[in-house]
Amino acid sequence: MEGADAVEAVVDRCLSRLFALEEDIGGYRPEFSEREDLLGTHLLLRALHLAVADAQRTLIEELRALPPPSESRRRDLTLRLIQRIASTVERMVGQRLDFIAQPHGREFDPIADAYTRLARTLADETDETEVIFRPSEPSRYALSSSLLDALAESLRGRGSRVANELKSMPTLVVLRYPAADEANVMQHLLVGHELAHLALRRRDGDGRTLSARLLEPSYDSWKRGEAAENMSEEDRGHVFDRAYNWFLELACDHLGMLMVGPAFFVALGEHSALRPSFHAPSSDEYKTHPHTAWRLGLLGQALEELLPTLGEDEGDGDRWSSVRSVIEASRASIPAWEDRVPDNERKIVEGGMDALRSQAHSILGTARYTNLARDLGLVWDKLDSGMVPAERVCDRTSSTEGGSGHWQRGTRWSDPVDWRSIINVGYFRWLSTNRTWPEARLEDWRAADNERRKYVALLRGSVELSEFQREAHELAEQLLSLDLRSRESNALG
Amino acid sequence: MHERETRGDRYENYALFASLALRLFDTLRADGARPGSRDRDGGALEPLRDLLNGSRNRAIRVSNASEELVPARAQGPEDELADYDLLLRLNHSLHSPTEVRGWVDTAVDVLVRLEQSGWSHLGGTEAQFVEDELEPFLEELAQLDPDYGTEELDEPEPLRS
Repeated sequence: MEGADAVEAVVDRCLSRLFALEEDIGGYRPEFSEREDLLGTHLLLRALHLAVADAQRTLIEELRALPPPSESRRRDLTLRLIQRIASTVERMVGQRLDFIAQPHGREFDPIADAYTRLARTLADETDETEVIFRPSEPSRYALSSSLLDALAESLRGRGSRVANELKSMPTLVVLRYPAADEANVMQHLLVGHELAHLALRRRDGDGRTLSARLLEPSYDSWKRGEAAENMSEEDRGHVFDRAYNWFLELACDHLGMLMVGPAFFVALGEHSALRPSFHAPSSDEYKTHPHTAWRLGLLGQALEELLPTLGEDEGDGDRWSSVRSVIEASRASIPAWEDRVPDNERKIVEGGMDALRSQAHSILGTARYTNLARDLGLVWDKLDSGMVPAERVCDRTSSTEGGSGHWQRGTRWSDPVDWRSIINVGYFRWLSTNRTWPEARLEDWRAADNERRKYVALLRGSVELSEFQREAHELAEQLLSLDLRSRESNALG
Repeated sequence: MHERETRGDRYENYALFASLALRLFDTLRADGARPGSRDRDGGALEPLRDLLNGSRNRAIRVSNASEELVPARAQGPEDELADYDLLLRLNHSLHSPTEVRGWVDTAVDVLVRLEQSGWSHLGGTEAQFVEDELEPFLEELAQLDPDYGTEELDEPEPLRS
């Protein structure tokens, strides 16, 4: 009887932990019920609910089939398994609930949908992707791995059918951004780096990631060289690990800048300057990340190729000069890095970066940002005039006023401005006109910060308006495709 | 999720799969596959094979440049490194990439032969290898602390993913 009581106690405890998890999940639902924009969060809650319910069922089934005390070894193994199932679900579900405890706020909202669209474009074509944005630690931007993969694998490993339901759901990832910068849409250009990780995670038919495919030829070439010959197996492994990690980050910087625009370089510079180590670089400070000076140095080089393709040599010379001067000022603040990068890693990474650059356009597809030349003057001028640079007016004048006048069905009065143009031009304009240091008094710094906040708020509002207009156009096109007028006349006829 | 969280998930799953595999081997040894035991516990062997193959891939990567890597599943080099490290930590008889490759080859071969035999019985050389080599490893794996080794990750890392 004593043995049976002990078993009951173990199972009772495990089930009670699972019931508590179920209640936790239920507690989130009313909280987010009015946030229809949190699609990823709602999907995650559903998946977690399924996983917990499945674990409860499994525990009951295991208990029913528990071997008798005479089969002590198998009975013991089953009890251990019951505990392990409960702890696995508790850990995985609890951790994921923690990820969504604090959803992104109102001030991040204007760009959340825009970045989500980019994420859907970048991720694996066979997969839908939903990003859950999460305010997080200071100075921290990070993209999670898929939230459901480990959970689905856990379920599949123990033969649960719920695994298939989880696998059929969209890929859910959490993107963290610094909570203190919630409203700073200029700084959030760094989200582009994180989204680029989605592109590099794409897998080919053999299951190899794009990042591995890009880097491995360079690594193999290095490994056949003299430098690798004199190294131990273990040291070669360490070189590869570091080169691979560094390549991932440098590649995401490059793709991120092509995706969100050249102001990404400035955003990374401002972000990095907050770190004390930025001003005292060491060659191998990070196992997983290259030194920021190297990152910025490579981005600065890439800008030389990028700016002409964005139209630097075409028109609007004054504006482009301002953009150029901001970039040069940022570049001048980068500490020397060329002699501080270890040769072996550098050689491997450079080979990978060459491969990346040659394929960058096809990797990004329509996610690449190309509208700077078109929007530079428009956004800059509107900001100069204190206007919201959210739309490009196509035709608002009648024929008597010199316009084309005759409105036709489907003709647009105006187009939304690309949200990336608003932030890029706004960022460059701010830095080119507000680089004078305030007097060294606290109130002056506060006033300068308030000015910047107000300016960023204007950009944020502009992005919100342009996004509204884009959505309105999309809805209008959907309504037009329904052809309500002809249906109505048919019905009347 | 950060590396720490992802690794915690992987370790938690490996511990779960090891627990399932131990029960399956115990059942097979006693009286062959009981009805349902293969469906119930057999699913754990595939991800365990992935762990072994990931370790082997890593061993190949550091020891032999000319050999083609055959990914066992959708796995990147960082996953392979984690698997390789785990195998070395838990199987104290393995010390070099060559030893890892040899042991993994045998282990995977045993698992494949078991599967091909329809899980009818655990006997002969397979039984010996399972008892002497696989089960001690799985016992260690089943007790794996998901937070094991996280202190290594406490370094500042900007813009990580």
